[in-house]
Amino acid sequence: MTQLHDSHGPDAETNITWPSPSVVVESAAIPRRSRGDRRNAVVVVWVLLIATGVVAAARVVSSDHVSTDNAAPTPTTFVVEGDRPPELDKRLDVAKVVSTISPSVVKVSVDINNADGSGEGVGTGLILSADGEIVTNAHVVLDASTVRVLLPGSTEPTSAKVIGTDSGNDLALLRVQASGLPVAHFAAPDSARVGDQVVAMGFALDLPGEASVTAGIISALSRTMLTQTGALNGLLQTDAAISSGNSGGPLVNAAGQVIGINTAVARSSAVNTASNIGFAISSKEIQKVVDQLRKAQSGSTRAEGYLGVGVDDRVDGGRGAIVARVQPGSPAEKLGLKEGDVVRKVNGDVIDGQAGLIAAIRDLSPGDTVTLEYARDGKTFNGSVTLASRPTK
Amino acid sequence: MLPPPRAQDRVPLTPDPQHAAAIPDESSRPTLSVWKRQIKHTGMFWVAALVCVAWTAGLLGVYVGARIEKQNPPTSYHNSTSPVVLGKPRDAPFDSRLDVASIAAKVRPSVVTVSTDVSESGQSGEGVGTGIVLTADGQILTNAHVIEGATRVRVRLDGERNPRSAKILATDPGDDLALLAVDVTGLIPATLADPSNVRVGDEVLAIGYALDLDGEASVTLGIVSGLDRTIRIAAGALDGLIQTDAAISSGNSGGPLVDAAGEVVGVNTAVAHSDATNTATSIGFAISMAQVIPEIAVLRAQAGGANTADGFVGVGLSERNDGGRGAIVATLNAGYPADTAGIESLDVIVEIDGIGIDGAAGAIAAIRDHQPGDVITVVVERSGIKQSFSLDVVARPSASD
Repeated sequence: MTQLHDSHGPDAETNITWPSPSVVVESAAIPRRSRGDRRNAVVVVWVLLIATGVVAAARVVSSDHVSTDNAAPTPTTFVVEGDRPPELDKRLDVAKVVSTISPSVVKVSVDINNADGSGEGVGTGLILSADGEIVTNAHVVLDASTVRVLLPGSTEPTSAKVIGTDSGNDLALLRVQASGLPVAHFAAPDSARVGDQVVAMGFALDLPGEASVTAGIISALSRTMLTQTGALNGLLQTDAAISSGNSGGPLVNAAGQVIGINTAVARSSAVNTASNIGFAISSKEIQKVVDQLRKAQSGSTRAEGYLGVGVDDRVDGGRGAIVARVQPGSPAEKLGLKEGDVVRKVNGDVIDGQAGLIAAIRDLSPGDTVTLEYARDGKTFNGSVTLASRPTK
Repeated sequence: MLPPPRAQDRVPLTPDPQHAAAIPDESSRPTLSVWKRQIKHTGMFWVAALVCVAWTAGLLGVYVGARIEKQNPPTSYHNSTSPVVLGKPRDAPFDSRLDVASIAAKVRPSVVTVSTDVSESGQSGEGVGTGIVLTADGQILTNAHVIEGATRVRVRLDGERNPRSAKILATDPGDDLALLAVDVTGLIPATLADPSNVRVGDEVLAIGYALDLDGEASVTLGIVSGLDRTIRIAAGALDGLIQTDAAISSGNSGGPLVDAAGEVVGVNTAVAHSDATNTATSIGFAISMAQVIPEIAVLRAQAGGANTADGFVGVGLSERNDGGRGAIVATLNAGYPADTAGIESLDVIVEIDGIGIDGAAGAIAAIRDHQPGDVITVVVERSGIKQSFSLDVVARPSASD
C-alpha cells in the first residue's frame, strides 16, 4: 500500500541511502514488518516544488471549490485522439515528441498562504483550449493566494484564475486571458499499455530555462493511492524520472499524445528504496474530471457517492479491500456488509486495496446503484445498493 | 542536495536591508547541487554537502592498499601540445539511438579513475572521481572539485591495476575543470563532440567510477533532459550545462557523457539531491563541450604560465520568485562598472550580450566568463521598460578586499 503524504513527512533519509561506511547492497524485498509499520514502508509524495517558507504538513485539505463568478465561456473542445496510433509500437523519438507537446506545457507558479506562513510553489500545467483553459494538479494551487502561468516562449508570467478544483481527484482547471494557444492532444482512453515508451515534461526543481524532459516506460496501469483528500485510482506508473515541480505536467506517448498528468512519486524511506516510481493520473480520468469541472463552472456541483464503510488493506497478498467498519444506517449496512468482509469488485471491476474501493465509490454519485462482489467465510456474495450523499461533518 | 531557494536568496520587490545583506553576490556560497566526488573521510566533517556522500564509499580497504604501496614520484610531466580530438558538426539528421555495448567499448579506454588524498582545514580523507583522456601523451581532463584540496593525485588507467601519480597542470574552480598530466604515452584520447550536435531527447551514456565499485567503470543510459542549465557552485556558477536523466552517482564527477556516435558531449559534474521538502529524481548535470573545448585552451595556457582572471561588474543578484525569467539586481558595488553605467537596484537583468538570462546563476556565469577589459551589453527591465547598458568588465577584486 502506498499513502500520499504531504511533502513534510518524508525524511531526510533519502540523502543517506547508505548510512554505514560500506556500500550496503539492499535486498529488493520489502522487509518483514509489523502491521503498524506498513504505512511507512514507502512514502509517496506530491511533486509540487515548494520553494520557501511553507511547512508542508499544514497544507491541509481545503474543500473543493468552484468559481462561478465571471465564468468564462465553457470551451467545447477537449482534443482526444481516436485509436491507438501506430507510432506507439515503434521506438519513441524524443525530439519529435517534445516538439509536439512542448508548446502546450506551461509553468504554474503560486504564492502560498496558509496557517504556517507564506511561500512559493512551482508546478506544471497543460493547455486544454486555445482560449486559455489550463489543467494542473489541485495540490499545485492548494492554498494559493496568487496563481501565475508562464506560457512557452514568454518571459513574463500571466495571472491565472482558478476555475475549479477537484481535490479528491487532484485536478484543477485554470484560465488565463489568451487566445490562439496551442492545445494538447489527449490519447484515446485505455490506449496505454505496460511497456509503452513515454516522455515526461515539466518544470522539475524549477530549473532555469525550458521544461525538463525525461524518458521511460509505462511500468504499470491501474495503480491506486490514498491521498489526504481521498483516493486516486486508474493511475499510470512510470519509470520516467519525476521530480518536484513536475506536478501537473504531461506524460506523453510516442505519438505526442497526453496519456497522463504527473502527480506523485515514491520516495525511499529509512527501510525501503524507491527508484523511479512515478504516478500519473490517466487521460481517461482527466477527461472525466475536467468535464465535471466545466459543468460545475456553469452551476452544477458534483457530489461524491457514499457507501458508509471504513476499509483496510489485505495483508495476505490477495486483492480487494477489507471492511473494517460499517456505518449505521448507511447503504453498506442496508446491503448487509459486515466487518471482515472482503470487497473484491465494484460494478464488475476488481478492487485493489482500500484506495481502490474509496476511489471507485467516490467517483460515483449519490443515487447511483452500485453492485458489490464480496467474500465472507470463503463464500462469495453479490449485492446492489443505492449510494447516499456523503454526510457533512 | 538541491534545496529550494532559501528565503534569503529571494528578495521581495521591496527588499529590506537585512535581505540585502544576505543576498548572494557573484562569489556566494553554493545553494544548488551536490558534487559527485566521492570523499571518504578519516576526519569528521568536511563540507556539509559532502557529508552524506562521504559514507557511501566504503573504500577503506582500497585506500589502505593504495597507501601502503609506496609510489615513486615520476621523473617528468609535461604540458602536452597535442591537439585534442574534436568531432565534426552534423548537418544531416542524426539517429540519436545508442548502441550501449559498442559505445561503451569504444569510450571505456579513454576513461580513467582519479583518486586523491585530501587535506583541508585539518581534516583529511580520500576522494574518487573520473577523468577523460585528452591526449595520447597523458593529458587528462576532470572536474576541478575532484582535485580540490588534494595533496596527492593518482590516475588509474583503463585496464591497469595500479594507479599512477599525476600532476595537476592547471585548475579553474570557476568553470570546475582541471587538467592533469600522467607520465605515459600511447593512450587513446576521447573524441570531443561538436557542441552544436546536442539536442534535447538525444540518448546519452554516462561512464564513470560511480561509488568506486570494484572493477570497470559503471555505464548508465538516459537522454538529454535539458540544455543551457545554470547552477550555483562554491566558486560562482556554471552555465550552459546539459541536464540528463542518465543515472549520475558519487564518483561520476569528471567522467564523460557520450552520444550515440561515441563522442563526449559533456563532463558529468553534479546531480540534484532530494531534501526533506522536495524530490529530485535523475537530474544530473554535465559541462557541455561549448564550455569545455575553449576552457582546455585556457587551462593549457595557464599551465604554461599565463594568468587568467574572472570578469566582474559589481552586482549582487537574486532570483525572481514570480515564475518569470531574469535576475534581480539586489546590490551594487559602488564605483564598479554596473554602478557607474547606471544600473539600479531592483532592475531585472534579462539579457547579456544578446543571450537571454534565465536566472541569477546564468547572469553570474555570463559575467565571469569575460576577461577584464571586455565590454558587455546588459539589457535590464526597469518598471516594465527595457534598457540597454554597456559595461566595461574589470577584474574580480581579490578575496581579501
